[in-house]
Amino acid sequence: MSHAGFLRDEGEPQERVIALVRALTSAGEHGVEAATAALEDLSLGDRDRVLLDYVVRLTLAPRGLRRDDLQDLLRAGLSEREAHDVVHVVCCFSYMNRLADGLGVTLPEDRWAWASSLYDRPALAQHRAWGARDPR
Amino acid sequence: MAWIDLPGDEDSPRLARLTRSYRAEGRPVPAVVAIMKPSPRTLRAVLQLNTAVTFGGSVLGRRTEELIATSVSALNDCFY
Repeated sequence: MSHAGFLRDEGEPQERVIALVRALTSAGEHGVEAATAALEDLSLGDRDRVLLDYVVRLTLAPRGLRRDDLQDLLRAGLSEREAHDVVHVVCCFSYMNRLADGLGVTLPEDRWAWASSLYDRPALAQHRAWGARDPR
Repeated sequence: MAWIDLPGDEDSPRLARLTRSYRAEGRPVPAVVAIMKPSPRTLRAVLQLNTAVTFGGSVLGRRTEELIATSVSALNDCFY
């Protein structure tokens, strides 16, 4: 969730960042339809909404993507180069997420307070327990 | 912290070079970057990819990159 802080630093209101994280974290485990529905409850602009619909599909169900899904990005005003970079950013962060979760990378202490504010569940405590190295 | 042991930032000349910019800024190597230190070749390649498409490197602009990064990480339920 380090990048949620960077999104806030880019001028996105904190309450909108928190709403986005909570909505997509809880909906993500239920699949594309749930995550897409969750986006409808957020006050997103048209371009962000189309962009995030595509991000949801590429992240959760990449094999289900069709040419029309990419066309949606272009119809929303993105250039082909911008659509290309959207895919690369999704790929990059999917990679970094799996790197962190596959090797037990935990959030540094200076980000704990911010991370705690992002969730409506005891996620930080769960994360710290998950990342603990058991002596063997 | 991570589940594997990691070399120090300057344990080899190659690692020292790859982590030099963080030391110059007086900040630690981010944990998700440090985790790649066992393979300096991978670390270098991923840093180059990150530079090309994140932190303002894409044509999308930093705000859109962070919107995507935040959304992907939330969908993947990645706490880091």
